[in-house]
Amino acid sequence: MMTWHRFRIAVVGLCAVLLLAACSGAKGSGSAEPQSAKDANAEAQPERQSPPAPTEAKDMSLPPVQITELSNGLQVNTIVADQLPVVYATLVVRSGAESDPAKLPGLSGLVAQMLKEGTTKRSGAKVAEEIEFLGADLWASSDEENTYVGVRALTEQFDRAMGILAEVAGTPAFSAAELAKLKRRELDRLALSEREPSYIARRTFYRQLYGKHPYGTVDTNPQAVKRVRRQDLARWHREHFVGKNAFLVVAGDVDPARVAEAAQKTLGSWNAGKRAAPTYAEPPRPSDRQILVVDRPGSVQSVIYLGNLAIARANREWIPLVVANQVLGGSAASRLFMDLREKRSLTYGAYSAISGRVEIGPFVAYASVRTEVTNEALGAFFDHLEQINQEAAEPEELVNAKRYLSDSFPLKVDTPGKLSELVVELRTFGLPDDYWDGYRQAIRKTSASEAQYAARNYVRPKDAVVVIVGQAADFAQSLQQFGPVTVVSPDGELKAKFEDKRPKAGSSGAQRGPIQ
Amino acid sequence: MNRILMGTAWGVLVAAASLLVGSEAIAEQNEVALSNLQVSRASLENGLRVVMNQDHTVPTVAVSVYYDVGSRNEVKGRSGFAHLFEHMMFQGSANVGKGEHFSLIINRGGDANGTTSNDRTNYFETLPSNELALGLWLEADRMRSLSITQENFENQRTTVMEERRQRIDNQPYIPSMLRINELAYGDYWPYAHSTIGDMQDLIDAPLEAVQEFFHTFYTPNNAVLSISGDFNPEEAMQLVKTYFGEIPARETAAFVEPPPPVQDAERTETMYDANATLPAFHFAYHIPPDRTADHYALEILALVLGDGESSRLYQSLVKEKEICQDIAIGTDDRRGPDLFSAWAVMASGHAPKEAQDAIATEFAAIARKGVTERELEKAKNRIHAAFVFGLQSNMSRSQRLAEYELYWGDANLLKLELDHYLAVSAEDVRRVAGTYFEASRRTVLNVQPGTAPDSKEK
Repeated sequence: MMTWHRFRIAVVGLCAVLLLAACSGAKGSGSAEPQSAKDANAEAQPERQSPPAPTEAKDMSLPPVQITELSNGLQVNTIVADQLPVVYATLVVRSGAESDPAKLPGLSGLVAQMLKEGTTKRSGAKVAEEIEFLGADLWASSDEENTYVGVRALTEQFDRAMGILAEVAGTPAFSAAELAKLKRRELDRLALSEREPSYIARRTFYRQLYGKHPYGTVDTNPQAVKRVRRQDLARWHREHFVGKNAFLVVAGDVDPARVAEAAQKTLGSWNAGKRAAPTYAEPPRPSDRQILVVDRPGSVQSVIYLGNLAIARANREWIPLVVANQVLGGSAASRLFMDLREKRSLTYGAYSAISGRVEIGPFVAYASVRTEVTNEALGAFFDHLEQINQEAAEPEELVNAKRYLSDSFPLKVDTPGKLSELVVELRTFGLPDDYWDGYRQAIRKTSASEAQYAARNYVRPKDAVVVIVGQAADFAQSLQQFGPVTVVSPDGELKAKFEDKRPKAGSSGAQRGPIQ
Repeated sequence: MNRILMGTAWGVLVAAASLLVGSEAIAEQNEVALSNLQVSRASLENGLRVVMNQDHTVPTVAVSVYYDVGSRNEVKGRSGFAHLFEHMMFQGSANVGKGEHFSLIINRGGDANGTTSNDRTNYFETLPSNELALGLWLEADRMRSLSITQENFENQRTTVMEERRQRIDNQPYIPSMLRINELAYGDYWPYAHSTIGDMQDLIDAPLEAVQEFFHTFYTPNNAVLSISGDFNPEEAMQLVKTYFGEIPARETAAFVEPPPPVQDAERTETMYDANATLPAFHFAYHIPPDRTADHYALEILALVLGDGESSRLYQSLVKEKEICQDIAIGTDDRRGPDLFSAWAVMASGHAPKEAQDAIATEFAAIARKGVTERELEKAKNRIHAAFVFGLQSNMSRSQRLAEYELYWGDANLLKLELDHYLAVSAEDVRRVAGTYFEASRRTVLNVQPGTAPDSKEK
C-alpha cells in the first residue's frame, strides 16, 4: 500500500509483486508502417487521424534561489516551494571520490557511511531512532565530486531534522567498533557485487577509460576496506568538512530567514578551512579502439559498455552534445533503442549518455544483449556511433530531440527534492545562477551544425573503449572484426588475445547492411 | 497556498506534530485526513470510470489508465501473457504507427511507461499540461483499436525474453523471488506463478491468444482513467468523452477467485543460485488481503520489525549480532490472499537458521509483550510522512487514485486511508503477531550460492 523509501541499500529489495516496465520505444521519424494482418475487430481505417495538436504552452518560471553565507563561508541556498508541508535539506561537501587518497579508493564513501554510525553525543542506533521517529529520512553518500548528507522531513520537523543532520555531518565518532562492522558489511557487499555483470562492466569500463584518473574508480575495493583505519576517516573528514568547502541546499515549505538562522545555529560553528583543490592524474588518450572482454562463463547475456572521454559539464558545448546524444540514444525514442530493441530485438534496452563531471566527463553507450547476438549488437553500436559522428541528424530528429529536452523540463522540477538537485548541479559545476532559467531556450537554439560538431568531437567510435562482460567463448574471437580483443577474468587475469582483423582502409562497417 | 492539504487536513499535521512531542495517540482525530485532496469521479456510458484531481503547482499533467487484468487472470499454460500484452500496447493502433506511441509522447516533452503486476496492468504518461489531448487520444486509440500483428508480436516476445534474462536470470537472488511465491501459494495459481511468465509459455504463445486477451480484458468497462495535475476539468471531461465515448463496452471475464490457499504444515525448500555469494532465505506467512483490518496492523508490525535502521530486526541482526548482511520485512499488499514476507541475505559465515530462529523469537515476543508506545508512534509517524511525500508528484497521485478506484471502487477512499493506520492500537499489533505466525503457516526458501549437487534447475 505504501511505498517505503528505504535509504539504506538493500542487497536486493523485497519485490514479491514484480512490476515489469514496458519502456517500449518508438520510431523517430513518425513514418507509418504498413499494418498487415490487423486485428479483425479493429476496423481498418482508410485514413489515419493525426494526433491532436497542443494547446498554447504555459510558461513556467523557477522559484528563485535565496543565498546567504554563514560567517565560516558555508553557503546556504533556499528555495521556497510550499505546495506541501515538506522540506528537503542537503548538505554538500565539495569533495568526493576525486579526493580519495591513491591507496584508499572509496575512502570518501566510507566516511559518508560512517557518519550515520554514531556521533560524539550518541550511537548510530540512537541517531536512526530519533530521525525515524520524526517520520524523516536521513542519508549520506558520495560520488565523484561530492559527499552528501541529506534529510527529508515534514516542515514542522525541520529544526530537529536539521539539528540531527548537522550533528551527523559535524561530529561523527568514527568508532573503531562500528568501523569494524562496516568493514565486514562492505566486504560482503563487494563480494556480491562481483557476481553482478553490470557492476563488473561499469567498474572495468571506467578503469579502462580513465586509468589512474580518480573518475576511473567507481567503488572501493577489498584491499582498501581492509586497510582503512579510523584515523584515515577522521583526517579526511577534518580536512574536507569545512565551511568554505561546503554548501547547503534547502527546498520546500520553508522561510529563508528561518533556514539561515537554523543553518547558522547548526553549521555556523564549523571551521572555515579552505576549498579543497584536488589533483587529477591525466587520463589515457587512446589513439585506437580497444576491446576488453571480461569472461563470465554461464552468463545468459553480454553487458556491453563502450565510449570515450568527452567534455566537462561546464563546457559550453555541453548543450549541443546533449542534443546530439538525444538523437543517438538518450531515450526510448532515440536511434539506438529504435534499432537494437524495436527493430532487431537484440535487447531490452539500448541507450547512450553523457555524464556531468567537474573535469572531463564520459560519453558512454550501453546495453545488455543475449549472448548469441553480441557481435551483431556491437556492430550496430559502432554503426550508429559512426553515423552520428559523420552525418548531421535529420531535421525532424533534431526538432524532436530539442522538443523533448526543452518541453520535458517541467517534469524535472515538480518536487522540492528535484529543485534541490538542480541547485546542487549549479554549485557543483560552477554554472551561472541563471543557468536553468535559460536552459530551455539554449536547447531550442541549438543548430544542426552545432549538434553535429559536438558529436564529431565527442562521440568517437574509432578510439572507443569497449568492455563486454559475458561468456567469452561464444563471441570473443569474432569481435576481431572490430579491433584488437583482449579477454580477461573478472579479477583481471589475461586469458586470451585476438589480433585486429578490421578490414584495411575503408570504413569499418563497409560490409554490413544499411542502418535505419 | 497548499493545494492538496488545505483546511482540515492541516489539522492532521498539527495533531501529528503533537504526537511527536509525546502526547497521547490521536487516531480518532483523523477521520477527515486528506479530505481536501480534490478528487472528482465520473463514468461514461460505456463503463469507463474517470477520476480527476487538479493541482496547478507545475504545468504538467499525468494520465494513468488502469486495466483490471494482471497475471492473476492468466490461465495455466499462458503465464506471462498480461505482461507480454502490456508490451504489445506500445506497438501501434488504428491511428498510431508501430512504435509511435512512445515517440509522440517523448518528442512532445513527456514520459511514459506501463507496468504489470499480479493484480492489474497500468499505462501512464506525464506531459506538459498543454498536451493533455495527446495523452488521452493515444490511450483511447489503443483501447479501441490495437494493432495485433504477427510481426509486432514476435518482436515483443523476443524483447520480453531479453527482459527476463536481463532482470531475472542473470541476477543474483532474483530467481528466488519468483520461487517463493510458487512455493507459498502452491495450488493458488493466480499468485503462484510469476508475472514475467515461464519461458516455455512465452515460446508457445499463439497470436490468436493475444487477440483474445485484448477482447476479453481491454474494454472501457474494465478500466479506470485517472488525470492529475494542471488542467481544466470541464475541458478534460469533454476530451475524454470525445476520445473514449464511442468505444463500445464488451463483456469481460470476471476474475474467478479460487479457494484461498490452505497451508497446515511448514514448507521448506533449498534452491541454488550460481550468481549468489552468500546464503539467503525467504520466509512467507499467509495473511488476509490488503485493506482488511488485520492487514493494517500487520503492516505496522512489519514496520516495527524491519522498516529503517532503527527497526528491531535490522538493529539486532544486521547491526548488533552481525548475522545478516541485510534484511527486509513487509507485506506484499495484494488484492487477494496476501503474504507477510521476510527476506534476508546472511553475513558471511552465518547460516539462515540463526536469523530464522531470531525472527520467530521476535514474533513470539511481540505476541507476548506487544510493541512499545514509542515504536507504535514511530511507525505511524513514518506512515504519515510517507503519505504526504507520496502526494508530491502528479504521477504518483494519479496512480494511487486510479488504483483505489479500480481495486476498491472509490478513489476517495485514499483520503481516509491514513486514518486506518493511525487507528491501529498496540493491542492490535500484539494480537496479529500472535495470530498469523505459526510455523505451520510458513514457507521457508533457503538460497545457497553455487549449483545444486543434482542440478535441479529452477
